Amino acid sequence: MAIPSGRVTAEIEGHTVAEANASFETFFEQTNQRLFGGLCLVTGNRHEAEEIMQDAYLKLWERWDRVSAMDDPTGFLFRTAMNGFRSRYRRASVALKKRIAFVPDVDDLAAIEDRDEVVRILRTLSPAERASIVLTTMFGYSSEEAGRLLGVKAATVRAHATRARAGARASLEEPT
Amino acid sequence: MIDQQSVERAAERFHLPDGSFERLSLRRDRKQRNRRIRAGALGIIVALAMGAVLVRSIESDGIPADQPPPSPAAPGTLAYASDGDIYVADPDGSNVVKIADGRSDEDCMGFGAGGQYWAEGSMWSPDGRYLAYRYSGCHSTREAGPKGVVISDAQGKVLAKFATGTGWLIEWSPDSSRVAVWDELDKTIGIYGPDGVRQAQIPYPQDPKWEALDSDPYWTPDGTSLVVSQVELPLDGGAPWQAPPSFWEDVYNPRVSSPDGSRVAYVDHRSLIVARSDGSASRELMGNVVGEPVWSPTGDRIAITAGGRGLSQTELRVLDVATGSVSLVTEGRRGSELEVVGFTPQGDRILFSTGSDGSWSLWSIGVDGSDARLIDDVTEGNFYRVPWS
Repeated sequence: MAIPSGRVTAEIEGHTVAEANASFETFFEQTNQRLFGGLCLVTGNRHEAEEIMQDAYLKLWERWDRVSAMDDPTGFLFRTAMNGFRSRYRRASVALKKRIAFVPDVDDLAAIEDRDEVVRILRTLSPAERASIVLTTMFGYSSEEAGRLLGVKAATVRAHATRARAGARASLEEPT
Repeated sequence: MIDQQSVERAAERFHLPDGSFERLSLRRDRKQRNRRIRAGALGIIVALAMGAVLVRSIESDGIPADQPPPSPAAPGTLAYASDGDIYVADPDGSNVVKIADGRSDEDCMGFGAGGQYWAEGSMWSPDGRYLAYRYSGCHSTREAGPKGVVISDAQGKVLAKFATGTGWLIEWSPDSSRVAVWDELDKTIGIYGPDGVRQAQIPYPQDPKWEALDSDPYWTPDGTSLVVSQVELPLDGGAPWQAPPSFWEDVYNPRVSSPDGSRVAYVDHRSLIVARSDGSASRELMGNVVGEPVWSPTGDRIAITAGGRGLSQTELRVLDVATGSVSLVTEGRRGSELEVVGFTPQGDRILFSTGSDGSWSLWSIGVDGSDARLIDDVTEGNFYRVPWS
């Protein structure tokens, strides 16, 4: 299911908690599959993707009265989820330097790699590079916006996209 | 072809398992319950801390250059960031004092991940006189504002506040005289004194093979160079160079001196080694190590984390340096991180942080594994303290 690109209708003011929860559940149902799919592509791990997704939704739910009144709650959801991804990614990098143990990597991209050329290409990229691609192509952010979200330069985001497209071209040119 | 349609199609191949909203609801209930418990515990801590130290104002433009340096904090004094605020506490986690009061992560609405004031890495200068932490661009809920670094004394009095580029760690020089941060991410590094005056600006080589990869600058142990990702940048103007892997072992796995300076502990290929300070008489005392060694104040014990029996489980262990015997103190939950913060001044308890479900908590526990106590739940898991030696 695709996320509506505009504002998700929120009817919360003056309504009961139950109605607010119902409104949030509707928003969740409308947006979760696309966010989950995008995060799976970024992280390569279903478990990690659902963790980040749930953290993001929890943050929105806890302040749903304010978020639902925003012009673009879906955009805020993506921003929150990408902040979560970036925070985890950073923490993992630091931990790696310190040799702290982590859940063993599960490469869920590998399971469907053979069936999808995009997945095959994304699998060769780092999580940060994958995040650049997903933010700019799937979620419609400009390189500048994606750069701000990921804490990298817009030029780096563009370089990631170029690298992925070069990978796609090389893949198409490979003899089968 | 990598375009919106193909990426959307690839994303659709991942199906969210059934019951996702129910799992989210359960998680929310659990979080609310934990918050209620935490509120009770924190109330007690705050009551104890009342009146101990005044919260200082954080708005300041710096101090005169001729002012004497501030007094160092007591060894073991703790500093940490939590939900937009910065705290200091006694070595056993008591007497928590908020020294920087900022907007929470929630109030920042995504513009200041971690909140208005936050830290990643060693806030304390090695001599314990200064704290360095970041302020985010969370000046409103609608747009990102300027961001930078705050330097304060151990009581929270702000000595300097200056704007910088994006970055995470604020690395103090070994002699506590300077910090190094990105002035512009991946492009220029600024070196600042505790008064906030920039002393030098070092360009980072714009060579694709030396991509900085979101790494912050570190100081070499002798303080003569900075290192970023794989590149050493000499401060004497020498040419940057790519250091061999052994170089990084020294940077990332430093030798930790015992409080009396007579011995060092370090990790080599996941084994804990203890040796004389000159490197002689080295003994391999424990394997499967995943963290850094932390000496007890008396130097007779070392606390360290190691891989546990279960998959992705981490254990907190204590090593008796004289006998080499290792005992299990506690084990972390599967998949969660566990990091030693330090011993209490008496050496009878250990502070450690652990993270799961996206939140972090600070605990103390007896060295024999008894009487675990939750000190605080926080949003950032960075607890640092003034060295004992």
